Amino acid sequence: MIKNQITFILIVIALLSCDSGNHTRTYHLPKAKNKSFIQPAVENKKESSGFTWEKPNLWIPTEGTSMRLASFEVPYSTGSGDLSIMELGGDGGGLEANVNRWRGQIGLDPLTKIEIENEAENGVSELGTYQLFRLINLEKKESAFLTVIVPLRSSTLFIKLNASADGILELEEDFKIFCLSIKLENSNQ
Amino acid sequence: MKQIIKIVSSPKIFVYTIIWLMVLVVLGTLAQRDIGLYASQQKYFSANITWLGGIIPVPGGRITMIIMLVNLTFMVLFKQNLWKIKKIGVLIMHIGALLLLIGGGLTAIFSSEGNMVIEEGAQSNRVDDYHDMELTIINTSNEILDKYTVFDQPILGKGNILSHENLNFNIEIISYLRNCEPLKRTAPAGFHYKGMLKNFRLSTLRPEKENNRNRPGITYRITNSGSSSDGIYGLFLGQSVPQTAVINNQNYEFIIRRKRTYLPFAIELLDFKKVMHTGTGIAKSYSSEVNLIENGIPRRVLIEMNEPLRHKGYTFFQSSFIEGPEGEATVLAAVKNYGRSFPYISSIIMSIGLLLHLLKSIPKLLQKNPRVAE
Amino acid sequence: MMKLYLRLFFSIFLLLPSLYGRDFEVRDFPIQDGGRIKPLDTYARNQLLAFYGKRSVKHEKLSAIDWVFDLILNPEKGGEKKVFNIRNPEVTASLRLEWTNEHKYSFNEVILGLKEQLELVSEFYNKPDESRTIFEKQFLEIYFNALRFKEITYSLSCLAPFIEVNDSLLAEKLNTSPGKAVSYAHLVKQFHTLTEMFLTVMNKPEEELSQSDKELNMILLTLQHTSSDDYAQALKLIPPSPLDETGTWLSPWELMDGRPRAPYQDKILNALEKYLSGRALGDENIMNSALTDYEAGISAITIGKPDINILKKETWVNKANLFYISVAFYLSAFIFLGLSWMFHQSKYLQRISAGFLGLGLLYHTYGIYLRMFIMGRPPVSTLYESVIFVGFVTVVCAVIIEYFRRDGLGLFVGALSGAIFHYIGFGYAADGDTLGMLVAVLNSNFWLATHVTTITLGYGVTVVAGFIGHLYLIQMIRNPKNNTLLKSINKNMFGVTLIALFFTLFGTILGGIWADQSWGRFWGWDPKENGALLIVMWHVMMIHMRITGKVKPEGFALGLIMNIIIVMMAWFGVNLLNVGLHSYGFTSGIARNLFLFTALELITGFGTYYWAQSRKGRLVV
Repeated sequence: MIKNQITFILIVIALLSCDSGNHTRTYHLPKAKNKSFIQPAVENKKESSGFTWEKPNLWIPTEGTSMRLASFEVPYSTGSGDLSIMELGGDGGGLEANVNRWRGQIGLDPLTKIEIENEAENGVSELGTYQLFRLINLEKKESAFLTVIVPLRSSTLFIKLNASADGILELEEDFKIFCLSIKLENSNQ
Repeated sequence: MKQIIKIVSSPKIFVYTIIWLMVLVVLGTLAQRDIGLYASQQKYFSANITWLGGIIPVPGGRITMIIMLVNLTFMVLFKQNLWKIKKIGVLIMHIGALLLLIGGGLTAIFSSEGNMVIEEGAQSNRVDDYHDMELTIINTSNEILDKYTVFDQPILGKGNILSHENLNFNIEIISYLRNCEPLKRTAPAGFHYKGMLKNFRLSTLRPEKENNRNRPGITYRITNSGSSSDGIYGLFLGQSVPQTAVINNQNYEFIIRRKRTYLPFAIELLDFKKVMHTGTGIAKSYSSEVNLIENGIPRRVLIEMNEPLRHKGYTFFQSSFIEGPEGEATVLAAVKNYGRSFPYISSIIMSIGLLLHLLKSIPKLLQKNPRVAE
Repeated sequence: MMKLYLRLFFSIFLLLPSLYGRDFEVRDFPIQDGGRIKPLDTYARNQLLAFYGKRSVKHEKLSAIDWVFDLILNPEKGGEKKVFNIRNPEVTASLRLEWTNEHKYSFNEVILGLKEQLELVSEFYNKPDESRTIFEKQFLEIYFNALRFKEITYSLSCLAPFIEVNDSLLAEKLNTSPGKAVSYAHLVKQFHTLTEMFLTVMNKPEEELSQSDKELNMILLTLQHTSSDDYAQALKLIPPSPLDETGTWLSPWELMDGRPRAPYQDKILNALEKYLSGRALGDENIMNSALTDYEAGISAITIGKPDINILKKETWVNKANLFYISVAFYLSAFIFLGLSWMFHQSKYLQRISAGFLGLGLLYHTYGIYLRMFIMGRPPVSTLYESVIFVGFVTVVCAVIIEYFRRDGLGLFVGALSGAIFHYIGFGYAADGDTLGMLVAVLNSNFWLATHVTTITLGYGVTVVAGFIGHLYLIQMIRNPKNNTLLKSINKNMFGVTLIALFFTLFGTILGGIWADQSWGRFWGWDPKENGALLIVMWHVMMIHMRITGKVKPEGFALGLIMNIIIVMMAWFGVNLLNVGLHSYGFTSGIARNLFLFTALELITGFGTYYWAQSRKGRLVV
């Protein structure tokens, strides 16, 4: 009896020790290129985006895409707009590319780098210098942008408000105050 | 011998194992609420021993199913009664079940799951595992080529000593944390802490339910380098600046990252499309138009949901996507599974078996019955 | 009694003509909502359900579609109608409303209360969903309901005849007759004329203004005020232009910005405007003419034209309440079966019962078929549909069993289970639109059809097996000496179990194959998979225990009853765990019902088992 049981157990153990083998590997690769704009590995935890801010009471946080640090629904007298904060590595694609892309989204023609620089409204905040862009297409007044680009040490912050042209004008004050309130987490305050 | 066979193939063992397996399934399902799907799988189903409440050891899913496999094999091979024409349906059914278990075993041991992220216009030739990590040491001394020495998750256990002829030092694993966060030190570190650990320490966190939200970390000691580089170092997943060290005139980089498997071919993303159910945020379908490039020769392929690309033992599924300012990047799930065909074969065989048996016995079991007076 | 049944019977024939050759009605207007084109009737019913809790305002005999149009044509009155059903006294208190027994409130009352509590709304919204209390969730629900109510009210304000033009001079210039009301849209078409007139009036001093000048100013002010309604885009009644790739339908206000319109868009907008003015005046002729124009407009759509016949079918289904009729027949079958037992197993009564069961099944089947036809997909795609389908399966099995046995056992199983599953279905239908769209992963029709259909078939047959298990134990208690009857029921139990095993096993494996095809992994140990696996394993275990003689027929019967509990857990319970790729069904209150059901089954199962055992024991003595 005991012999039988032992045999059985041995068979089971033999099957248990199945393993897929080698756990050390080596290879060669040419030198690694620059990192892409996509932040890898860890998902952005909503609680620790790395920044803090103060927002008006009526702005309602919403579920944005995974790229956004935060998202808000911003009500104004005739509707509501969508505000997003994104942080992208490096220069996030660059000033020209981003502004022209936004212009394209509301049916405006692209501008040259110099024209864009001229259009920008420059300012200074806790995070450093920033540039504000007001993008309105009079022939498509239902969708307009108010954006702020803040270059940081190794990344760039994009704060973008999308609303109707009227909404943009109404919200500009609040938007500016909000942008100015953005600080780095754990900064001495 | 006959006695062994009788015991090993006894239906009693089967009933006990299946009851125990049911218990594990219930416990494992309920546990998912607290510890998440991946952790529950590891604890209840993939493990040989399941520690209930962390302290009571009971047979785990793996060993239970192995016992079932042995039981079933012996029964199929040696039960004389079964090899009779009138029991052919039953026999075929059990052979099918056996194949299913074997297939399951092969998958458990030999498969891997990961993903591939490709930006529009770019290409990738590697798969990043979903769950397993690797400790990678890159010798960057050479001008043109980097030399990689990689240690996989199974050997990154506490107390293990890793060494390789490529490296002129040893690595002793001090701790492997499933989830951690780097915290700035409030008191100065001991002199043997080097690199990032001089200013930070890795603090253990409770593992998240969703395994991909965990940030693994590792602390290790470099020994035997015969230089001042000996000491305790730390790494965590997603560290933006890799740990470097110069040991005996060789430049090294240390990284912990998701296990990478390089493929003998590359996939280039030409265009990513997503279609929403009109007027809603519910996705109807995504698709990636790609080039499969092997030996420099590209071949156009369309990967859609429910329409994967199968190549060289790998299957690439359209999984999701990432939106960035310059366009979209597709995320393809990449699965390598050696036991893949078993469930298909097994299910066909089992259904044939069961159908045969049913056709034979159902007429008897559902026969008309004269009404019986009360 | 007889009259009721005769009426029900003839209802079939009365309803049939309404299927074919019915004229296009306002109920059939196509509207895009929740990702699909549905008839306005469905939209109206579901919206009313969300606000009011019912699909029509019964005490006023007001159908949902009439309610919507009343609201659109008379916003003030509509705002006063008490259609907001607030079930939580805490919520009414926080809105400064008085709690009454009917707890129904008007939009005006609700919005007044909400205006004072906007910070609360913001605060609750900021919290992640899991951490919100019931009160907070319901409060937010009222808030969003109120917003949507307002949007619906004003979505057609650009087309409604709200602006009266009395002055004859103005009327002529603006293409209308004095005293006739026109819509914003109509006036906007005469924008040039209006601007011209305004320029001449603009600089006139107050004293020089004529009557028509003053009216012009009023009209312009009204126009400007009305234009602030352009946020209201809830009713996507207008098909997209042929250039729009996304195929997103539009709401009338979206087209008021002067953008170029496709001819069919114009046709539909004009028809809608005409309908509204006809309805406001109560003029049938104008309304009918508008309906004809509307139908012509839809036929003129070039891309993505909705099928009017399908729309009409859906409107019909909404009204016909096929499943209510079906459940009435099932209950009648049960009553007549009971009667037949009282009258010494009267064959005559049993035949009537069988007849009712068959009729119930007919309506049941037709309902399922129509749903498939309307949505163009296999019968089981959502949790609601699985309930309806399992009910269908149990009745079909019961009919087959009755055909073989002819002793009423099948009738009992069929009538009872058919009715029970319909009632569960009603519970789900009360939650909202049951004809919804699916998430991408469920979009594959072939695997959907095979895996889900097979598994639900398996659930159904397992439930039938459990029912027979109950009957076995009951029969054992009633007459333990009747071995022939017991043996025959026993054989049936075993046979049905084998069939149940076939479907549940095959269904579970198909699920694995579907997962392998879609995500690359055959088995993931997620709750829904585990649930199905448990059902299969239980079947396998019971069969093996029976074959090895470890368990007697009454033990087997008890085992089958336990399997019903396992099916319910796998079917509804797993959604409460919310993990893995399988979590797409949701309703509250399920946990409580599931618990009650399990307790009930455990008590009756074990109770009858031990009772039966003791009856048998007494025999031996």
